[in-house]
Amino acid sequence: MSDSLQIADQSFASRLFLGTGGYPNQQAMLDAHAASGTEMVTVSIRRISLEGYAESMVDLLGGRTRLLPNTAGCVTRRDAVLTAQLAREALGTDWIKLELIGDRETLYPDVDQLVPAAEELVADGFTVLPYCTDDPVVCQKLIDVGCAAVMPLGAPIGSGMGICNPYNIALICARSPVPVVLDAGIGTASDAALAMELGCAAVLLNSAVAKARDPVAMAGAMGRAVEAGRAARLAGRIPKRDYAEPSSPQLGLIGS
Amino acid sequence: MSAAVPGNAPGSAPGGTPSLSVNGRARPLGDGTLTGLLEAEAVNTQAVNTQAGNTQAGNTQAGTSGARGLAVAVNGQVVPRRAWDATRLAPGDAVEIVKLFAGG
Repeated sequence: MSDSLQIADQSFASRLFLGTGGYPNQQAMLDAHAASGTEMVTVSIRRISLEGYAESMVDLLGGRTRLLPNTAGCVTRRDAVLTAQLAREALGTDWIKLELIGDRETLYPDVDQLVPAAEELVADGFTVLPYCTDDPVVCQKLIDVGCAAVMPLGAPIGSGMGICNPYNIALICARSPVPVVLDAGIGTASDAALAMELGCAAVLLNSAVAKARDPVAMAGAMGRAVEAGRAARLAGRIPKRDYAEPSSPQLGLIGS
Repeated sequence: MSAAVPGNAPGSAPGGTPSLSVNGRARPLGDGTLTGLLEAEAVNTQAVNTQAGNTQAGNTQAGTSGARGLAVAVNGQVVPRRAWDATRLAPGDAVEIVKLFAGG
């Protein structure tokens, strides 16, 4: 039976999404993407260099994977909305990873602006995937305004701390009628597997692969971790117990 | 390429030359066309794919011109590729020219 991921009108065989930033070189990025099995990668929108017009990410990535533009770095609703509209014009996609930052050190989302920005973009025909806090109330508000998924952070972007509040992530997953994509803070493969075991539909990560000692190897590990975590989730884990439950028969012991 | 000089009237460079803002920096207005401005900024407008088919596979919203990773806004409004040739600029306009970059 197919276990494909459905977000809006798109199906994905892979439940791992990667970023394109911070790799040691472009070839490492391309090789990592291939090793991971990802079918969608994020890109940012920035002013062109006034000294020239370099090769674009579209030319580089050229149809190998779906591109998901983001509004990374935007701190106002107006800038985020305009960036999304520019991304739509540049790429011909109405999918957008909405980021509205409220703190330069933690890169935490500004939820006061995030929800109305999401609502405005949904009304403008966008398929909105918002990067948000691991707050069930915020996630519900984003769902209520029509977001196609919610993307709560596990920990601050690039921190590698993993999932700081697994209880909140599990709660968000249990309540959400749209896919939950764990986005930000993943540090290693076990973090990605845990996200899937908690009930996430997918994982989005960048630094954990791009800045690993061996990005290509880590990308492969992440791909397998997401698959393993998903399989474990579907298999149904045993409950946690305070005391032991023997796994060998208690009868027929010698000396008894 | 001169930066805006404090004290000049908005929309003008030193000496009163009409100017506008491009990516946050003051530029001469030039011939007043958006295409002229883009070409002056070394954007090869002919290399930009204007075919409507240049959209991502599976994308259901193909309403844009599908410029190859490049987009332009004037005064906070996106200008589609098909409108570049007909767009006139005025002193004091704010132009944003963006493209895709790496990111997470």
